[in-house]
Amino acid sequence: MTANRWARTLAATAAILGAFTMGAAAADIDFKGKTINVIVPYTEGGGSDLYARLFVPYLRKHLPGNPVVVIRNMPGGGSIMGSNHFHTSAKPDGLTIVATSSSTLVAQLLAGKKREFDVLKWRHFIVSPQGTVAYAITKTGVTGKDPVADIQTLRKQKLKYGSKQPDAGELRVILAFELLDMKVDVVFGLARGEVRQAMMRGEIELNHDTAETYLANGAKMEKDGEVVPLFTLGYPKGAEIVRDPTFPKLNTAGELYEKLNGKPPSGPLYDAYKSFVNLGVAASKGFALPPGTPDEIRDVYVAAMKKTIEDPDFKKSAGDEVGDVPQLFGKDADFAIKQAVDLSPETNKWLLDFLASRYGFKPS
Amino acid sequence: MFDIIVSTFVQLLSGWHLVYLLLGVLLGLVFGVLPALGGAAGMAVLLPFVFGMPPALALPMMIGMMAVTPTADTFSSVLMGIPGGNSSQATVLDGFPMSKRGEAARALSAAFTSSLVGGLFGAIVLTFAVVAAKPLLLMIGFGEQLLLVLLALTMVGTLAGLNPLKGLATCGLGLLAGMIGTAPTSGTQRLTGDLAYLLDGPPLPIIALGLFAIPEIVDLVRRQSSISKDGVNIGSGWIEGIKDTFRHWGLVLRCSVIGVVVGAMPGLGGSVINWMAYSHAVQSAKDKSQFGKGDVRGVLAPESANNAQDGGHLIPTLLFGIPAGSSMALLLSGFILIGLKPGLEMVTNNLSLTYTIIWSLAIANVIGAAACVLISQPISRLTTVPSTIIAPFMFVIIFFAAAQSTRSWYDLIAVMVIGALGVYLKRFGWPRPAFMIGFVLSTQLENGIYRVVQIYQWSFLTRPVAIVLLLIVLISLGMALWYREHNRVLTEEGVHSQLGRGPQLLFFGALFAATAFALIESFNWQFAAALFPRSVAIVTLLLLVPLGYILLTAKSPNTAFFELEREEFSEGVEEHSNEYFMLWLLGYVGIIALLGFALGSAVFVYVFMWRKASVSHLACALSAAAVFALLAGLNYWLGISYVDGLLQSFELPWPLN
Repeated sequence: MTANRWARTLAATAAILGAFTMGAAAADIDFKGKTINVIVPYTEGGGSDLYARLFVPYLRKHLPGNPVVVIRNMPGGGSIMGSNHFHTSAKPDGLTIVATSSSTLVAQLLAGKKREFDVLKWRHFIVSPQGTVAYAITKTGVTGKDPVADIQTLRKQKLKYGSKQPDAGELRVILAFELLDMKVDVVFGLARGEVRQAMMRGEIELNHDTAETYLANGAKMEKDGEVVPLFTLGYPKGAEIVRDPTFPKLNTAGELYEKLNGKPPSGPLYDAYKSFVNLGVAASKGFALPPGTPDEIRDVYVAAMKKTIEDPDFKKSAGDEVGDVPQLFGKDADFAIKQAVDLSPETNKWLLDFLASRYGFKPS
Repeated sequence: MFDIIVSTFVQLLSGWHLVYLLLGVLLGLVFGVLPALGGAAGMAVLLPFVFGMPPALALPMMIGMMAVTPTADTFSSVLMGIPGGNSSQATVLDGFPMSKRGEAARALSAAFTSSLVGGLFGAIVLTFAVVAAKPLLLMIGFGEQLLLVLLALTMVGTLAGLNPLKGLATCGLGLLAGMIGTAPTSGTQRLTGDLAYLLDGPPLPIIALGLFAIPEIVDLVRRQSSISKDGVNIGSGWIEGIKDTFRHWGLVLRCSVIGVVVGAMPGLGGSVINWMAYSHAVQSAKDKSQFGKGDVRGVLAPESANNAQDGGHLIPTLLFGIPAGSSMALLLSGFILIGLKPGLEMVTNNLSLTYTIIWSLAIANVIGAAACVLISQPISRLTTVPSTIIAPFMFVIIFFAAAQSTRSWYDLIAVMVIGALGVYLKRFGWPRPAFMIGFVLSTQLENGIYRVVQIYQWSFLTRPVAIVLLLIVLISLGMALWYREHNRVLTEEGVHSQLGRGPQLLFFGALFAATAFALIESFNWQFAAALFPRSVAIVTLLLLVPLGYILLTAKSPNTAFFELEREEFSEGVEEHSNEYFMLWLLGYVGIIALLGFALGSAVFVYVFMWRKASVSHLACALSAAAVFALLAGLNYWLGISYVDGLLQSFELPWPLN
């Protein structure tokens, strides 16, 4: 290590300590000449990888000192490998960040002892909500004219829905079907695109997509009269769930429940459902700093993210992926994560019982 | 339609369009030549640059990059026996033996010419498919997909080697290995040994490198010869390779059809297609005796198929916006970044861009193949370098490629374990391609069966496409059963001798125990997750029992026996065992643990060359420095990261960190 490098490290440390003790302005933090590692616990080409790659050029542009930003894909174990690595070895100096997604949060709930990380300790600086739309093919008799009647039509049938595996983010949609008392047989081992293709062939009746994917693909099928949207999973606002701003005309699953049963939903099923809406909608993708990162560093990242979101270039290239919905920063991001994974003991027990009795799933 | 086709062609050959296309091709060549870095990694590097670029420029660059990686990844498959990518594993089987025979240039130019034919064929099919294929593709349901998997599986028959018991049992072991990881139906963790690394199953590149590359190179250094024993006519072969392509034009064309058709269909990934093409070559050949020993048809088949499959993959990607594989997923991301929405609108409103894609694919294939043919002659000289000099570099490449899977320590350990398995499978004649096919098809077979049972039970067999596919499956099965290699004389001196069977029995026992272990473990799993592995384990054991009986009791040479150690070694060579060189590799892993990958590799190259190749310290040092510089350069220019060692826990300046 060169003397120069020492000096810079010391200066950076001093700056951080200074900021910490004296509450100095975040402007003291400067990443000039530094390299920031973005750990992406997924393989190249997945949704979370693309999300990270969208942000990387703007991190460089908007972080103080314009550091070099490099992506390190560390796939494996459904994001557990990379997340473990991040949690156990990243230093709280702002030079390592991790890309998060709903699979990481599901792992937090269900991965058992292979999980060495704790997302509740991570310092999230942005999460990007993404709405979820559930839809059905018109062959089932749904029309889209009366959403309540559509659910009643569907309740009379045996339906199929495709998902990757029981312990995945898609559980949020399975719980919504459960809430609405629909008899759904889940075909496992399928990716979303495969399910959509199977719907076109008439092999599977139900599917869901994130809001942006639905607008890109499902909307065309809707216009052609092939599918009808049933409901959205809604959108968390504080502790409540409201209508999805991208689809203001669609009911949430909770609203449909109320219309069908004459009373608002409650109980452990609904609590588990709400947690998964937070997990799969509010905190669907995001970035975090390692545990113990000082507020000053996180504030710098939050500021850079806010600038990025307002950046006209970013809006142009990433608008479709990130959408026009409000992003959650800093403390709001932490709150959404907590809502997603901080289950009460009885909700947690209900969820594990449900997975065990329905699909034979046991956390190890 | 035709005016658009012509105008996009003219546009593509003018000004900046061509420059961007060439840039893409150049990058694709670099990523293709480096094993395990294929189209997906190249696309990941390109993505930041395409932000906001006009589509007519960005598309040629992205397609150009993607189109040539399956062409260029042939170099390591043929020259070093290291599978260059998931879509060119089968090329190793005959490509590398050709190199050993001194026909590297011929093998390479045959590969590139057939790649070109396959790529162009894919582009032509794509031209018409984008307007007409939708109804056809929608006829391929889950039932038809399962039959495709079964079809691929029946092809094992031709790759099972001399002893059917042994071959099928090896395939069963591959199927079992493919079931390691999380069972989709219940999330049950099967045979993961409580390692997070194995939750998604062992990575495919690790299996390919361990089974094919490590045993070949260990064998090479043991013999201490150069890759090709007589390097006399290396330079002249490249015209012969082009001629080969046209001599076997029927095969090349049929394999292009396999590539494009299977590539377009959902359900079978790109890693199966090259095996299907290879098996087809074996099935359809009259004289099968040279396959696996350097038959040029074994190179032509997978190489034409794997370039044609890009055209096939693009059909669903463009039509439905559904990516086939991870490089297509990244291509889709690229589409979104430049403001294109893949889907039927691509074909209706953006037809000129669609044809830009197709032309880029065609032109890139031509340029890529030409460039590769030109360098194939000089680069073939590598095969005349003594193995003790080139082997350390090859080991570095293998470990480099392996660690690209998850960039973790487990990759290096896993490739060592699979490498050891590969060494013994090779030594005792358990056909590694059969293992590979089982492994690749395992997940699809299990998921496919569950899906079909859930959705159809048996009724899918009344669908028209399914009936046709079923017939093809039956024909393929019949051919596999009918085909036997006759009139081979087994002698007590040959590899099939019954003498010295101790090591064989030991290895057999280990495989038997592993299968039995999987069977016993399966009783701890949830029923749906256990059903398939349990069935496979039982069938495998049923195959192993009679095999074991023969191994124990046979009194004369038998195809069940195989001991490569009985083959003659060249004279005057200091003999070392497989295990001796596996220990060298273990030492290499140890140095990486201390110094990190880049520095550790340099040290390994230095020590290996110094001890084994008896060249001067200066030469050793220069080689080591070159390795280090190359690895550092890859890190700097392409952002490739390496496994850290103990040294990296201290804060160090680049490139030491």
